Amino acid sequence: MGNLKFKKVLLLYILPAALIYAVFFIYPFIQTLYYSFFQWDGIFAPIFNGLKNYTELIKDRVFQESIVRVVKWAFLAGILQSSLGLALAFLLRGKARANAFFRSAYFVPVVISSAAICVMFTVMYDKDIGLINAFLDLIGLGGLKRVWLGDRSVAFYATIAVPIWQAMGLFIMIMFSGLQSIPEELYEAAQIDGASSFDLFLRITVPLMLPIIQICVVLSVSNSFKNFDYIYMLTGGGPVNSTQVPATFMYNRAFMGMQYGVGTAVAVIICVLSGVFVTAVRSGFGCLMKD
Amino acid sequence: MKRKKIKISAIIKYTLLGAYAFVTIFPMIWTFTNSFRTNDQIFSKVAVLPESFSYVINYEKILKENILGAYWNSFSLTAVTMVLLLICVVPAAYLLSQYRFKMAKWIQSLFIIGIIIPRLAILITSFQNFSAFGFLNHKYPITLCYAAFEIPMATFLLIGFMQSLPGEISESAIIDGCNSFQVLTEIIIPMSRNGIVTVMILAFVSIWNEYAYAMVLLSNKKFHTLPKLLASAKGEFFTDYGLQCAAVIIAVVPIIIVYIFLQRKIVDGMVAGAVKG
Repeated sequence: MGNLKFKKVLLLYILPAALIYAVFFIYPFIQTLYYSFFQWDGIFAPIFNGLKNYTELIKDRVFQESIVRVVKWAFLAGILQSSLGLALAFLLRGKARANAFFRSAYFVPVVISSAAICVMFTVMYDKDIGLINAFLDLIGLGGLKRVWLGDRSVAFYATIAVPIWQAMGLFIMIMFSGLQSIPEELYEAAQIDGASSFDLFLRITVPLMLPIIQICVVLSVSNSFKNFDYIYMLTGGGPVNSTQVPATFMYNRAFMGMQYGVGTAVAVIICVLSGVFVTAVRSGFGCLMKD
Repeated sequence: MKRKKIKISAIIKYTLLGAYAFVTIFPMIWTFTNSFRTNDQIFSKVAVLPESFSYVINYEKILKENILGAYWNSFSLTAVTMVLLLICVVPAAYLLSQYRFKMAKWIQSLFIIGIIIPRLAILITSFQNFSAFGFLNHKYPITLCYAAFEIPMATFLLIGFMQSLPGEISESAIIDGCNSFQVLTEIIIPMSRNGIVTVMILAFVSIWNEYAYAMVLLSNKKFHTLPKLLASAKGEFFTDYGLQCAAVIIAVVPIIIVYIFLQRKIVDGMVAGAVKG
């Protein structure tokens, strides 16, 4: 808040933003909450049916599994992106020219569209010409070759590897900018005391970086819950629902099954789940940082 | 002895960094290479460089797929959204950052709700509203959605920038007889130019790459954006690998060029957006 004197007419400044935001964000969000209590096929008028959408969803096997899956995703993404991100950012400290090159290279996938990345990885995961299988052949692990996106046991991991890979550059750079605020003298002093660089990492970097690590974990957890593009474009939830997550489940129910009411209920559940997990991560880190 | 130890650690360090750079970049090089190869060549072996760059049939074919139309759609939708966003966000952040009034806090927390709620949550109701408003067969209404998605974050970041400006300048300008609009155009906007550019770059990257809403709200083929066109090309040409690779390359060239020129601003902006958001 500033110091200039306020007059009512100045609210005109905020009118365009408030109008667009209210009509195209807040209003549809309230509708989402509202219609989640209705049976609604998009053609006939919605019929109120209380909590039925929710109770049916909770009993639905596919939906249950989709929730377990997205939690697994959030967990894996949270761990991988923050640990690898921090480790690589730690290695990137220093002013060497090569480091600047690595930083720009790591960030490239972040600015590319999910659609382009998904087309690229569909080809990469191809069983005949794909880079992944070719690489396995090259290192003599040809036995591990498979139809990555078509094999029920690995399709989910193959799919979530893509967004985790793509966003890594962002996490590296968040960690890197956090590391800039740790004074280099701290490291030097510890080195004089004979600490190895692994010690430096564990005893100086990690504790001082906890707030930034928290930001990264929160970001990757919430990104996992709301992620739709990659699963939808890479597998569409298949084979046999083995990659279905709530976001694609929502899309399928609403736009394929014409069950818009159920779809909005899934949307609400996604918001709640993401909120619960983000809060859990925050309070977990809160405890860690108190000590 | 000491020197040797440092050397070994440097070797390990650069091996690790190099390995990860390979993991990041090689898929893109491989895609680029395959875009210049025939399907037979792609099947025969993995190549780091194409047999020859003169094989451009993949590019010719993809250009026939109306990719130029998709370029135009992506470009015009992004541009219109950015103008809308500027008109909305700059004055709003000015009001919320420079004036003292009770509602400001309250309005800000309303905007913060928009940062927390995933936009995916309103996909279904946005679609239904578009259908009710009669927007589904038009191109530009989607920009209102895009603007609505970007407004909360952009306003939040810009308020931060504008609050860090020294407050006395606008106060003394008012005393010198400037009206509030002159303070905005002559003082606040020039002084927060960097902040505005950062916010706009963030919005550009996100809108240019957006997929879910473009798919649902712009199903008419005339209005397909680049991401939507790519996703459908994947289904249509799923055994024509070279063509798919060419489509990826054509689609990512503009954003890569933007990245090369604005790298610092993009990286800093996205990091700031993530950390503050």
